[in-house]
Amino acid sequence: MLFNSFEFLLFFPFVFVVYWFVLNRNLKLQNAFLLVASYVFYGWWDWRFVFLLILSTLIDYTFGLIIERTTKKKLYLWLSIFNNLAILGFFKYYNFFADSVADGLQYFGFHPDIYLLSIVLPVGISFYTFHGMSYVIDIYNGKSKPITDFVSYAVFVCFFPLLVAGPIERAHHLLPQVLKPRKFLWSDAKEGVRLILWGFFKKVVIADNLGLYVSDAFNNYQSASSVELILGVIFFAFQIYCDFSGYSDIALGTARLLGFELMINFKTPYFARDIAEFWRRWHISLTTWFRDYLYIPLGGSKGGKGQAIRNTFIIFIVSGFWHGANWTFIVWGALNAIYFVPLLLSDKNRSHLDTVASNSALPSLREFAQMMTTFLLICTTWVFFRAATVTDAVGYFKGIFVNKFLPAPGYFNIDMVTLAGLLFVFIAAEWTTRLKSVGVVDSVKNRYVRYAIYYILVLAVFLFGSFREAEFIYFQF
Amino acid sequence: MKQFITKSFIHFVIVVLILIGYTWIYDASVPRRLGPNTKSQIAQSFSRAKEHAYPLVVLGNSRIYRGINPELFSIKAFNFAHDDDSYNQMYHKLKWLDSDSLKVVVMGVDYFTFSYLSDKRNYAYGPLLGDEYLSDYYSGPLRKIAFYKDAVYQRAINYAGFDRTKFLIRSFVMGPNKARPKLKNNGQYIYPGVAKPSDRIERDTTMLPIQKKYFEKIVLYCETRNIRLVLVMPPAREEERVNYSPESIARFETYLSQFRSITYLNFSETKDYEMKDFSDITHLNEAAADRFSKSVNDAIMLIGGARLAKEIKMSTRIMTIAGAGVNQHQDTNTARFAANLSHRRDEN
Repeated sequence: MLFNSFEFLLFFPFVFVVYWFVLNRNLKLQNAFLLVASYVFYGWWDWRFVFLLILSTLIDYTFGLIIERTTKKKLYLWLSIFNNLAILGFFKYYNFFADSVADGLQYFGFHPDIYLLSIVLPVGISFYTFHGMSYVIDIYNGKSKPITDFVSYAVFVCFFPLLVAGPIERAHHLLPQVLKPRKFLWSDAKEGVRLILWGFFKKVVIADNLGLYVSDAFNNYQSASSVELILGVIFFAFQIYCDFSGYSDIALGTARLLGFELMINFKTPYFARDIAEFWRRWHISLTTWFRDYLYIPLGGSKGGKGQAIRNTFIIFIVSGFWHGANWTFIVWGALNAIYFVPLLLSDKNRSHLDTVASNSALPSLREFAQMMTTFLLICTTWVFFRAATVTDAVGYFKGIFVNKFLPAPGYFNIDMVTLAGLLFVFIAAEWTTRLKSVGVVDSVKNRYVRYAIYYILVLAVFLFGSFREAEFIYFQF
Repeated sequence: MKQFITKSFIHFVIVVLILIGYTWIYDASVPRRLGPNTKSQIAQSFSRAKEHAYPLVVLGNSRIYRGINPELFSIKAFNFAHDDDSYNQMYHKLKWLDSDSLKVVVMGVDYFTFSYLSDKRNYAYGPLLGDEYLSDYYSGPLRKIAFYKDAVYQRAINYAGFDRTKFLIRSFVMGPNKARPKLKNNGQYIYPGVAKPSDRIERDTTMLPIQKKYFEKIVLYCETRNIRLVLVMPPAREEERVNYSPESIARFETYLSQFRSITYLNFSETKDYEMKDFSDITHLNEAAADRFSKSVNDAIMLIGGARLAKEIKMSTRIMTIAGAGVNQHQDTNTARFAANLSHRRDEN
């Protein structure tokens, strides 16, 4: 079920009413209802994969209990990790490896008969397997205690707002919220509705409309003009940001309406002044997951710069691989690692821990140049992320330099001007909220002006949104 | 909690009122530039189809909807085609008409018409054509809810989104458009445009079992009621014809050849229509539609001649017209067409 679907418009109010009006006095029933609602939400896409979700949940729940009690903790930890990675590997990577092996053998003159399976990638598998793994690893490391209540654990794994595209929650953050009674708070409800509204604006108005130009550019890079290709990648940078952060906002807002506080996944990443800061602000739940469960166990940066660089490459390449079974994602990850290396070598990877222009309304010239440079570097990686193959990505770059420069007349039409205007409004709103914990509209004192702005936002979604049934980009991961 | 519910309800009502106001403004302004909207076109079409007891009705998709001017037929006719119609819609329209005076049905066919089951206009067709029509789209105990959900969604997106807002902005900025699309009283839809060499389209030649089933129902319906069924394939640009492989054409014509009671007029490869006769990749412009309508009428009259008007049952034949204009004023082409006709006349 998509957030931007008619079904969700009926589903969520029903869940909300039953959750707060019927079941709020009984925590166990409330959690059980949330679990059933989450399975219905997930199963709406394909009911068969609900069984896989239940199986994955059951296995990690069991391993959590065993690890707490057994003396062979490491064995069971590795069994749990192996199980999660096996499920993920089979559904996500089998055909990729089979294809790659076949291509490799063909290069040496062999023609193997590799059996390819028509495997459907279960939505959200990369996210809920990571939930399970973090739970078990935290128990092994003594950071968490296993819980005996299966329903509560299953709610942690399958909570529908974050089930299909994150954020990737940690047991120590979300489980306590599942285990204690939730109270309806007016401030939470307001914040939840605001987040949902802003999330829809980002997804339906910005991301989906930009998607048309992006698709045109990437599907026709051989013949598109340089300007179209450059704009194509810039638009993709905002498309993927607004799509993913929009989803995250809707997820956070939905959870907030149910009394849960999920971790923030994005903190205005395009205002980052270097790559390290960018990765502290982009898909925070995933980057911190890799930091805590891969980078630090590998030694982090404790073994010197060489080890830090090695571990950085491992993290980014694995992260690329996590995104999808395609060499483009691996190149994307490797490029990010390459951009990281100069910061590591010069010990500047932790230079910008504050927010840009924290003491002024506008950035300085130097800060602006840093933001633009970082944005440009990130855009070069996005070409690989979006392209279907590495060849297409290379062809895209080539097109920027060898194709005709200007687009055909009519490219810069009223649609483009309107979209540029909306993008400018969006960037301005993001800039003004970069330091605040509340949305920019909430800081307006006059209640009626605030309401008017919210109505304009709803109207903007209606008037300028794209209703072409576009999925969220991160659903495919 | 009560405060949240109350305020949410008030805000929801205000938002709904604002959106309703917007749709009123949209309905008042946009047709001045774009002509009648889809629901309005369908409503008018159904209303006018029963204004007279038409002996000839035209059915088909947008290529027929825009491509046939029934006023140029020798028999009183109405164009009951619509954008995106396929055989299921055509069959149910025929049944809805339920006219005893109907003697000829001219039905548009294309190599791609069997390949889709369009649901985009169900919000308008559903209430008119009824549950039997909707049963192909919705089943089970919740079918009514599913239909209303889709109907509300389809109606909403006719107003929502950037694609629609642009029309509203243009209607205010540029004012009424004298050359706007229009629906004529005879059912033909005129949509101005200019074809370009870069026009492209992708077509699917799959033959869905459900559309074959409805096609056969139409044939049977006409046979049972002694209605002459004439299939017409309109002219097609080369850029569209590239979608049709010889195998797909052969499969299509082999399928049609099993029906003994139909007449098949294929104008898709005629050389008499150039790019300038089209308003886009696939639709004839108004002038070319008039020429085409005369050709179709001439072909029908040539096959049945005056006997059609006298409602005499005809013998069956299938024929293809290739490269021959049948305008009565084009003497050279008429001779070639007549020669083609006599060559095939003994197929039965």
